[in-house]
Amino acid sequence: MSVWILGNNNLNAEVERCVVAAGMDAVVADGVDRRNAVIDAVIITEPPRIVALGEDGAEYGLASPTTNLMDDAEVERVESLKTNDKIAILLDYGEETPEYIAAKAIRTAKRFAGKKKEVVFLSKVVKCGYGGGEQEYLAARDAGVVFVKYEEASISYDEEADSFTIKANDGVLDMEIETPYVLSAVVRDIPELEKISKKLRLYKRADGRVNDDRFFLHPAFSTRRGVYYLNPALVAKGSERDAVQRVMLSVIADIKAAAVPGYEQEIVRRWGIPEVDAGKCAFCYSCYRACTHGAFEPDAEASAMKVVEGLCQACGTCVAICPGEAIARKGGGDLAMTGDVSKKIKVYCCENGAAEAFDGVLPSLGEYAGTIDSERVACGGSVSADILANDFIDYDTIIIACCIEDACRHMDGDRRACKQAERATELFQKASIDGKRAIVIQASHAMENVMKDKLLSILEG
Amino acid sequence: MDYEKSNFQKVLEAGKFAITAEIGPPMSADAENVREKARELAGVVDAANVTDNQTAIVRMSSIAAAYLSQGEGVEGIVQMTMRDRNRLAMQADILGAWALGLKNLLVLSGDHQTFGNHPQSKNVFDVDTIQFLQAINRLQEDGVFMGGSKCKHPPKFFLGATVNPFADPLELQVIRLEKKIDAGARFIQTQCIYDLERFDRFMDMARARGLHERAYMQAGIFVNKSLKSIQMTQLVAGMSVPDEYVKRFEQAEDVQAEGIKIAVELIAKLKGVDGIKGMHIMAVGWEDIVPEIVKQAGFLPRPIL
Amino acid sequence: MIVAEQKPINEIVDSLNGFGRIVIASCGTCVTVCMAGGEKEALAVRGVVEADAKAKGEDVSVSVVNLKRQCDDEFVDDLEDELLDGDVILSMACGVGVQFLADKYPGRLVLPALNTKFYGAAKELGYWTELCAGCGNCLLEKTGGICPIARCSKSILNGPCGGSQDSKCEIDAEIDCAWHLIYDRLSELGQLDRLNEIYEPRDWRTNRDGGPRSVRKDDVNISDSE
Repeated sequence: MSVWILGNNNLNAEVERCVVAAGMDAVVADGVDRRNAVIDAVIITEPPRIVALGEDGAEYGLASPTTNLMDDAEVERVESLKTNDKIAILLDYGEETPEYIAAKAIRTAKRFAGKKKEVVFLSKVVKCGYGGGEQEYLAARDAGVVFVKYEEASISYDEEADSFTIKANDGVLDMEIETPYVLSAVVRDIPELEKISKKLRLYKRADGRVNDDRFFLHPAFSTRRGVYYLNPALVAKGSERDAVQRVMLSVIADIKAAAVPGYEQEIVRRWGIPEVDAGKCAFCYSCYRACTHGAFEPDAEASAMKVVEGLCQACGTCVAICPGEAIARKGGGDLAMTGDVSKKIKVYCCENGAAEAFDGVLPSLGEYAGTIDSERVACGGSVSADILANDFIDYDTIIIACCIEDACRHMDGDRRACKQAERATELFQKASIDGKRAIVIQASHAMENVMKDKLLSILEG
Repeated sequence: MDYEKSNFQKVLEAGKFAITAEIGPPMSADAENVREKARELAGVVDAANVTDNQTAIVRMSSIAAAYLSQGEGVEGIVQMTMRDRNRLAMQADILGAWALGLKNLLVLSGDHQTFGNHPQSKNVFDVDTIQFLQAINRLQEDGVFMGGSKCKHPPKFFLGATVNPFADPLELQVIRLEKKIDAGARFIQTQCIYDLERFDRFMDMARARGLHERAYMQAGIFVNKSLKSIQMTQLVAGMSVPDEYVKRFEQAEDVQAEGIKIAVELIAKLKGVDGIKGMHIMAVGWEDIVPEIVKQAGFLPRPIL
Repeated sequence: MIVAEQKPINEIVDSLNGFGRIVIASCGTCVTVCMAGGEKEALAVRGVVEADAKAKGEDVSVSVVNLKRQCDDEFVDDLEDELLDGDVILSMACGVGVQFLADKYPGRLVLPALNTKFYGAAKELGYWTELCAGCGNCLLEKTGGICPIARCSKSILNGPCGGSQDSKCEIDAEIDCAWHLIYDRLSELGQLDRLNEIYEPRDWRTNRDGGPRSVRKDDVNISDSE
């Protein structure tokens, strides 16, 4: 199995060591040349910087996100560019940039322009018809961003100079921009894209366009199995080795699990794929918007949403979010709760890691072990406030054990869990019902000590 | 019907540089309070704005206070906001105001009631300033009420409006100013000016449309008494106060003297601006300093026409 | 759509005090979409009410009835038995639904669980803003599709006022100045000259000011009483 490690970071050495120790091949690179790639998994150790499409279709580096998910390391890198370096932001969606993305890209442009850099924003269409878009655009323009609406553009990369040249024509003039830094959402129809796009949460639609209308090429946060992001900003200086080893245990386990044939079917077997009851569906698009795997499709005839099975990861976020309770799992196995209400404490464990830690810790909880009722869930974020509210009829304390920050395969499960726990606890406080609390414990499967400490402190009072 | 024009109108029409100030009615029914303030301004101004529940804080009505002020020899400019009254009440009020001998009327939107001491109230905004100016103009010229019925004895107010050269977008404020003048505003008072550069840009745009020739424009200035005062002014939505003024207050030994100095400086710069036909001096919380400022700026004595 | 928000939970719980058999009626249209009164919200309220009863040692039964709509007879008729199988109905619908049920079952107390707020739409998942004031005489054609009555804090028709700064309303920096939006929109549409027109005072009779309103289509509603 071939694991690619992308990024220029001092974590790479340790990551490589872990991969090799697990019996897999490690390829450390700055970018992926997809023409010749055999890729089973990709581990990214720094925010991807650049994308360039050489004329031969090869790609150097990975597309960088122009969303507000740009982290401090990335911002620092931009800030360290020389003042007379231009920063180019290139949006090319074939015809139309989705407003959500355009707005975020424009915000990014404004942010950098504000730091006294020259920012050139190239796009085929700048459509800001919706709400905040227009203000964003004007604010960016006022901050000095140069907007270019081009008819044709191409980009090439000079490896030696580590610099890009963008050639664009706006219908009147030809222009050429040289820049060491391009933020891009360039998506082209390249045959070789097929392989990596499966990893990177993209799939091609029949008309040749890549399906990224909600989350565009964003490998740093891919929620598909096979792409992992080690966020260097989260690693405390001096403890890089430990941190990497900890995280790599989960990552390796995950890569191995995904390599097992029939893995996708396993998901269905364990959790069941959600199904939408068309009669109850209010067609509000909440599930579509919340799903981080792009696994929903509107069914115009039924006037309801439909789950796209190949993409669904059975995390249950949609079930939790649907305001009309129109989504329910079908065909899952029995991992149901023990339903023993003589116990006062209920723990929901996310199967991405926390569940293993919990199982490991349970026997050592002594007398408390008998008071806890537990249930496995696909994702901590699928435990909604209404589930908690009904649990509170019988339980006093509910714990959601879920992933550590940024480790959730479904993007924000841990944050959702925290919000829902807060909401449920507050609801009961405001109703003047004492003694009810929902608490979130964040721990990966290798963090049994953390799990134990937190559990004990909750159990003891 | 024959009537004598208001003093304010006469001064402007005679080509004299007009000076007005403000009387803020008390938050009580104390008539003497108004009379005292008016007495201070007698002979110092050509007329005085009498505010209407300014910043949405309940005060004695503008019409009543303006009437009291005129009793002390200071002509009143009645202010009417669109926030508190519907078209029936407003038309009724101006009929009464004219009957009491008041002759100047300034129409403005009014601060939203959430700013004031009765945020729970329903706001009216039955008509906006431009619609009202147009309607009153029609009433005065054609003797027809807003509902269509005839008015035998219409008032003949000298009508005015405000403009804020510091709100965004600037172009829209100028368009709106033109609409106000189209609707019948004959005099215009600006929001208080500190940012002279921005004000110049505004005046350029206004002059380009010939607005300075169609209405008498008065430059507004504020007189700050303390550092806190100018800091608060900076926070008001729609105000533009360059930091250099705050610095001057921070560094001044005698803040009050500095406040007067700044006001007089601004007046000196503004009176030479092409298109500005008068000053409107807002000394909120420090009304008794107005005579001193008018004197230092060299505007005494006031013309008697 | 109609956007509403759940009342503070303690108000809801207090209003149900003294009732032993509570029926919570959720509504599957607008209030589901704005996540205030759909089945999910109804289940959460049930949880709280039952937990509250249990904590007080009271005997309370709570059932949840899910109505697709609470403002049309046929939807309500279908589940009438379940709706009336209690002492009180807590309606999770907007003000329309609550009244519809109350009118339909005059002997049964129907309590509101929501505060109905405005006509609006989602800007993003979980965030809705007011767009329409229901004024009865739509002027959107004149303002590039942005309503100054609903979205200007002072409902100015010849706007803006002097408090517009950085494109925000003076009363709250979260609120966009509607007239700034209109100006930008008309610019984009090439219709800036519309701003030179003076809009006459409005006839507010088409609004709520003319009394409670109704609409009748008499080609459909053929009434004998002419």
